[in-house]
Amino acid sequence: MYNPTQLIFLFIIIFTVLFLLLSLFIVFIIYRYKQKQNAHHQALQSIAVAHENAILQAQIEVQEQTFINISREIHDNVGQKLALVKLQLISVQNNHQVELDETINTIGNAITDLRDISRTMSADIILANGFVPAIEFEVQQLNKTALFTTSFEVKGEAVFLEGKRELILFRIVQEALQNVVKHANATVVKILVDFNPENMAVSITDNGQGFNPNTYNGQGIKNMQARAKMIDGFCEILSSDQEGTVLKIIVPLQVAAGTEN
Amino acid sequence: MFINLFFSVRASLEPNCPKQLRIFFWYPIVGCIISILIILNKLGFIPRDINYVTNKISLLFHFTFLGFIFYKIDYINRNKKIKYIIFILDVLLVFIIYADIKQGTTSSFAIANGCLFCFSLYYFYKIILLSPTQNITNDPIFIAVCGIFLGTGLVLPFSIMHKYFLVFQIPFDTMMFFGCFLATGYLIMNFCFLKSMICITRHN
Repeated sequence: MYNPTQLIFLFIIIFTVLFLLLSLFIVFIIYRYKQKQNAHHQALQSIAVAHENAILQAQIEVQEQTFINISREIHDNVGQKLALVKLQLISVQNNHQVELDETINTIGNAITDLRDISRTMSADIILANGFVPAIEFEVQQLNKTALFTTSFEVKGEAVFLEGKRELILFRIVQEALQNVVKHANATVVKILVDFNPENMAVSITDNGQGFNPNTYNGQGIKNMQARAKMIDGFCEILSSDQEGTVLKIIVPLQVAAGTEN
Repeated sequence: MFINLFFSVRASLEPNCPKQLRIFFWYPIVGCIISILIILNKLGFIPRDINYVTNKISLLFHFTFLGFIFYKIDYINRNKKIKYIIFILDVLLVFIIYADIKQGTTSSFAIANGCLFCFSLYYFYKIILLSPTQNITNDPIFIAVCGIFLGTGLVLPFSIMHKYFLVFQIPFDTMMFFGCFLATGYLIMNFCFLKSMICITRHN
């Protein structure tokens, strides 16, 4: 015969150990499941980011292609026709001197404007001249409006980014300048391009009416930020009502492996 | 058991109640009947033999009903093989129960719980393989299966060892204590079922 107290004691110990083991097994299953769930969520997120990037990339490509087509059309077709009209008018200038002088001037201005637009749109020109001259040209365009006092400063030694990145960065700056023209009500625009050993920073500062970036819901800023992210950089906006706006884009000079599309 | 019955009836009326647990209230109903019979037996109103037979029949119900939950879980039972396994085991259990009643053994008890334990393990294996989309700790089916796993897992080794207890001539009182203590396994299982039902009602 066995001692009942010892048996009961043994039984309780075995039962408790068994219970703990079974509970641990359930905890392990939950842990593995959660682990897999996290991995699953991360995979889904990366797919979503990749998808978003692919869409953005496609949008940029379509936009660039549209710009190229318009630019070519302006240069080859509308520009040529206007130049021809100008020549024709010069040839009949003697009969209606004053009126024709005015018309020729207007057409001359239109041709220059069209060339400027064509140049701004064309990716080839931006890629050929580099980022800094392209920005200089944009500043000149701003100056022509005579609405702004502009300043453009380059710090450090200019470095060429890989073509596509330079173009995307330029488009961000271009959009920022367009926003200043359209919405800021500013009189002073300062552009600073700062080349550092690791990155380049572009800041566009205006003294306009500003806005609250936390409540702003427009697509333009999101687009700029998404584009900056695409080239491994980030786009930061500091602004408040009646305090002007500072837009800062920081882009690393070297692309992280696997992030460039 | 009675609280479980109340919540399972309530849960079955909820629109988001999983189809596997929609008829779950039958389990506590049978559980309540058996509990009443046991109490009546203890009070001397029902003979011991009848109580023993009802217990065995309730075991058949316990196995079939809980097995049916696994059968209803689509993602672990895509080709409906469990249906045949449950049927075959049911037939087998009837014979074993018959033998048990004649010989006073508990093999049917061990086999039924062993099969349910294996079904639970298979369920865990399957959910780890599947793409995890839902919050498992709030999933009523998962909690119910955890209950089955814990309940059967705790009872199983002792029901297998039962005949050795008899061989070693363990005193009757000690055996009674073991039996009562093992009931905590079922208590844990019913707590999990209760939690599962509460999860369904809270989802709404």
